[in-house]
Amino acid sequence: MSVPIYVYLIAGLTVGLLIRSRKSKIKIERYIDVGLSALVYGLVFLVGLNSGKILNYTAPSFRSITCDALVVLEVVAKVVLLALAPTFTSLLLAVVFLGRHNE
Amino acid sequence: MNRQSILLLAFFLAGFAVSTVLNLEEEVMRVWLERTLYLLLFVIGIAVSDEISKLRETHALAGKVARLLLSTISGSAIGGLLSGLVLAYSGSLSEAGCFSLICVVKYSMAISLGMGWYTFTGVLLGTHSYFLGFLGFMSNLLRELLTFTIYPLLPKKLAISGISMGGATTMDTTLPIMHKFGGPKVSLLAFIHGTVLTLLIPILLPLVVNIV
Repeated sequence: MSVPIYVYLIAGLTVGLLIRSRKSKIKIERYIDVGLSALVYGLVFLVGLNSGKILNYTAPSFRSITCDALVVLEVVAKVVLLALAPTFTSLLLAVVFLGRHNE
Repeated sequence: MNRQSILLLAFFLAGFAVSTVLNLEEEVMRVWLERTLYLLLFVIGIAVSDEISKLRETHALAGKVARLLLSTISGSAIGGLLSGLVLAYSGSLSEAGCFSLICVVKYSMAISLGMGWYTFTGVLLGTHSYFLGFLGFMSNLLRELLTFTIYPLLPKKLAISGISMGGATTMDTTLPIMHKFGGPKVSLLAFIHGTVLTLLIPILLPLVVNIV
């Protein structure tokens, strides 16, 4: 990636602010919502497509339904660990940092 | 699980199933993923530009937002670091060609710092390795699902701290849960929290991935 990735975000912000600063406000919200939903679903499909290659590693014989359950379990354990640890550490730190500011 | 999560999971599984039939080249996939990611970030930028004006009106909540952001970012980083140590001890991320302690910790921190933004994390890490993309996507999707299920169970006095669990998703998908179980003040905090994280993640994540 030659251009830093956040440049695209900044470009979007600039374009958005320019459009919204116009007096004759263009109703872009609807188009953005539709475009964003389409992009998110498209990306999730692409990630699935890319992730499908995991079968080559986890279960060479997956298609014949004789996959190695232990290898699959190991991958699932990694997913769960990488989801649980940041979620609960964040919650714990928020309880500590906010303390009585929770009200 | 709400309707949107089920639909997203269905799209992911459809892609997964198609992948077993088509044998797409990794380089082609990487280019597709990168271009779609750039487009997503551009559109997110346009969408968030409307919210910037709202952020200016919330000076009174600045202290709480700052504390929340600090706990979400540092909590995710520490969580990633701890998971990395566990993973390195118990067999590493060899599937992604990652064997050293530094490599494992770096990628597990990157996955955790996705803070629930599964599309971005999955795609960005997918350009490094399909296995990392899978882990990044699934772990962050699970973080969103955890927020959906655990936030309503938290005691009322942890309503604000609980926002931290949702990470970047508190701007959109988990916002209705925050509003329903926390009230309007909590939902406003959650929204600002999610918006700022959405702007920070595209800077933080590549920084962690390219640090070593």
